[in-house]
Amino acid sequence: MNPLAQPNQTLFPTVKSPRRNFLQQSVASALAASAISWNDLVKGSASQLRKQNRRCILLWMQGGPSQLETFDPKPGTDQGGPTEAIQTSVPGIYLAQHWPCLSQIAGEVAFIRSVTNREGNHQRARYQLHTGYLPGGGLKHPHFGSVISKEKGTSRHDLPDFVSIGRTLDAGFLGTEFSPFTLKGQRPPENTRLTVPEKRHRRRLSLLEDLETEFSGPHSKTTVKTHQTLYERASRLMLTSKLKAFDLSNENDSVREAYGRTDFGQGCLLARRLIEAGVTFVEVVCRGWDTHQDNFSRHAELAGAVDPAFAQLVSDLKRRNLLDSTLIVWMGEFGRTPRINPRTGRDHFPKAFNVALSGGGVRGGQIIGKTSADGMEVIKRPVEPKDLFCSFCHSLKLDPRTETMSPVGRPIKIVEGGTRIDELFG
Amino acid sequence: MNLFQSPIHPIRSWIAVIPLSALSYVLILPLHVTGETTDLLSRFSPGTVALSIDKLMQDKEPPASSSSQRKIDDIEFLRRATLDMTGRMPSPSLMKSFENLSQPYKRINLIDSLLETPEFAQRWAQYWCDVMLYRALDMRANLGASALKSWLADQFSSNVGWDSIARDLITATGDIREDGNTFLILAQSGRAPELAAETSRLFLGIQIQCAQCHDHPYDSWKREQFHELAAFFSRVRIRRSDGMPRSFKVVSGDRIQPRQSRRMISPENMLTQFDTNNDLKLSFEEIPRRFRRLMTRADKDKDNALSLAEMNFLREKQQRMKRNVRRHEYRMPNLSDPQKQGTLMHPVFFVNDSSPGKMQSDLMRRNALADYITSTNSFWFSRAFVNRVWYELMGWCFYDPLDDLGPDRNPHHPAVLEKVSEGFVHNGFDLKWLVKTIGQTQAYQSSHTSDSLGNTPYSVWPHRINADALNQMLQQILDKGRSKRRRGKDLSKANRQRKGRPFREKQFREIFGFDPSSSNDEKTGSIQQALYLMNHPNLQSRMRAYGNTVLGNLLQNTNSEQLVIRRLYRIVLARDVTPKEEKRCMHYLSKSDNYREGFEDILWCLINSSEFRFVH
Repeated sequence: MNPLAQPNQTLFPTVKSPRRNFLQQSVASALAASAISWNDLVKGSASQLRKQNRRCILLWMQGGPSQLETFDPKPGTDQGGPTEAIQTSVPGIYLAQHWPCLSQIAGEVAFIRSVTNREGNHQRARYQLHTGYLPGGGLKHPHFGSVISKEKGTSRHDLPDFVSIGRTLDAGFLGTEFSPFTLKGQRPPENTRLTVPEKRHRRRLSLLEDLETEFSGPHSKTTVKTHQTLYERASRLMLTSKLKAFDLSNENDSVREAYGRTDFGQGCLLARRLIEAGVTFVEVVCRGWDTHQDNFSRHAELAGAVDPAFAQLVSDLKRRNLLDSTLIVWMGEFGRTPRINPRTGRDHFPKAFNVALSGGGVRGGQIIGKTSADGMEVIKRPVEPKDLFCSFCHSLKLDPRTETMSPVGRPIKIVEGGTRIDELFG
Repeated sequence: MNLFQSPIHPIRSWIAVIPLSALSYVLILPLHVTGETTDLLSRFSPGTVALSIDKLMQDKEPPASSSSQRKIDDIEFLRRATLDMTGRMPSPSLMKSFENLSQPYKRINLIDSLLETPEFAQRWAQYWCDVMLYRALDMRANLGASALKSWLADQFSSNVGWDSIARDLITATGDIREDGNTFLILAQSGRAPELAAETSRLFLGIQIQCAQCHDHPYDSWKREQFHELAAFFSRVRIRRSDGMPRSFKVVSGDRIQPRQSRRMISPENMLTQFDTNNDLKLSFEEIPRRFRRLMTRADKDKDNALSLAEMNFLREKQQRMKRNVRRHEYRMPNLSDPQKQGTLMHPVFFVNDSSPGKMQSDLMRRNALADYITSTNSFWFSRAFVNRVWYELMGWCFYDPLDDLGPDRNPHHPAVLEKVSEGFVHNGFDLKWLVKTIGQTQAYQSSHTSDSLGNTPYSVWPHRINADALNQMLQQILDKGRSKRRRGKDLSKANRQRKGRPFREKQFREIFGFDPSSSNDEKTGSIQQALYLMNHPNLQSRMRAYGNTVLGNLLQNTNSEQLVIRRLYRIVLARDVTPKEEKRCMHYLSKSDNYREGFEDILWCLINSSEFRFVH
């Protein structure tokens, strides 16, 4: 039974906004001194959530991959273009020809062919599929990874809760504390190398601690304490043996080859290492899917990098018994037009596109939804982005209606509306 | 009557050429004290308003709580005012001359001089740029940021009122790289609903966007009212500019007929007119030259001939496009069926139901909106601004959260807010007047000493220093000794930039930046920030005690260890070291194998302290 079956919203049905009341805020500030945030107090459930050991890897296909060249090929039609379909290890499931490795492990992956949305603008759709919300409302919504690291992360870890390999969105109104720890490429994070011997570094830290006590003023105790916690975490990160997780040179050449010697391939390998080391959420970004021209050759090239990496990531995690607790999400901001434009490209098409999920309790080897023969419509089981986010939450054992108080004094749910896709978890 | 009503005051424009670095010399001059005395008499002069603020606050405050605050000394005031107003650290020489100055009005004079530095205008331009940039929904906004900053800095330094600035932002047209005032529209992609929400937030402090989808749950705004506000922006468009580098322009989309106004002859007529061989298709040769372009667009089956079906298809498409052009009038989406056409909305200003009328041109609408928003009897416009600037200087605000003024909110110290807003309106919405007034209050010159909140503070609350100011501070402190020695040679701009690499603005902002509209609890530090300050190689090399560094030079010119510690505290934290701290540092030095390394560690600690990161 899901321990989250009783949502805790009833705890604050009538509180308009705790922030609006200075008195209440004072209470909150006073509580902050004992390291409990107001939100935690209101919800009281954060610690309960953290016990669930669930993780997530987002493979983000920046630009919007074509559904017809990925998991919904339509060979022999005008719309399908020259792309052929290949048989996978699961009878009846066909993928586009560019995905031979993934076809081998199709039994572990669920392909949703019927995702439908209305947003055809890169930035807005990127925002929507990272946060679950459309931009606007006077708020900057947090990256889903920030939400996860807030709800599921543990500050006891030596490594950050949320790592992004490549640029992504930030924590929005959750603030810098939950921002992704962003890596540029697969190099180890910047500024983690000790510049002085460890002994001297520790001496410095203790001097810093002593000198800080003189900083007086309102809130200074809390300020100094949070500051210290951050420095402790940063120092732990610098000194931890787990920092090795960032160093790919520790992997066998054969493993590195299997993931593919591409940025994305090595990024996936790094993601696997980080998940193993205890990171809760990892995003790996793959750019270049915005194929307004030369769609077919460019998709072949991009899939050439993503296919082995994705497949290897799934089988590697499975081998390590981590797949059941790790949700892998493959998606981009939208699909591409079934009509091929005069530059043999495809344009933006949010009306019907693909998302692939694996691990985290998702039943693989299935296709969800169906599009019409010309690919223009979803004809079976339409799935909206908010349904996707509800499903992610379910896989990560989170209540999608968990609320966080936003700076405008409005409680914001992790996902507003939508229902989870039951077939995924059957 | 009032000093601030003329856009450029002669004395002020003369002072405006003095950079912050030269301030220590200026302070020695007896600055316009005469101006100040006449100023004091006016009802809305900074001095008078500051006095009444203090009185209003003290009346409300029970005397018991006065023990929890104290008036800060000159040197604390100097750091606070310089950082708040210009985003820079006071130099040790400025600290010295300010301390030694015995003038009755020296704090007021300091504020006056700070207001006239170019750094003041830059700091507030950067502030407003961040306010908009952190809520930008369009990445292209980054292309317009530098134009916005230089435009805003010009406005602030020449005392242009906030009403006029707001109007320019609302009614802007032009190239985003040249006309800085197009930024607001660019940042919201020129989209009407988003612009409605953002203008309301920025200029009125009203969160009306919740009404976008439903009647506002807490406030009295109706869903229609939000969309009526959006209708003011329905004709704003963003287009590609010609030429390089890549740029965009904000234009008015007033033209009802788009370019393709040339009517197409109906497909049936085309056939009867031109189909000479009666095969019910138009071949390339049969079509007159002027229609040949059709062939490329309509010939779907690529047989080099147009059938009736193909032409009909194209015609439908064109008609669809024409219908889309009609979108220059705003429609409220139909919630029950988003595919359906929504309800046509006309611009009406939700606060007082003013309307410019139906079917007005783009600029007429936007100008009308600017009129309504900036009207001098607008309750919200002045308050929203005062609330923000107060928060920047005092670290707490009347309305918390900052962007949510109402209508049914209870501010702290409503009488004070009322008083300041009144003066602000009376002084032509002048930022300098506002900063000067707040700076002169006793509240601004006090510190809260107790750790508990108790009552609403009547003093400055510590606030986190933003990325740009921090960047500047690090450069000021760590490059100090270096630039001195190199003055006169090899300081070309490119060279300086290369030297300043660790402080590269963009990277630094990514790590240290925060949304200036967020509350104090949200402006937290991060692991990356700590890592940067602890380990960044170029910062580390500047903290070395050898060679041409701030510490190297100090050690070379000073022969007492105590003195070095005292100077370090002055340079980094802009205050004197306490005896306890000095003792601890001396102890640390005595335990160090190498006293130079010991000093490096002390400098490292000061830079990494939480005190360094706050205005307090």
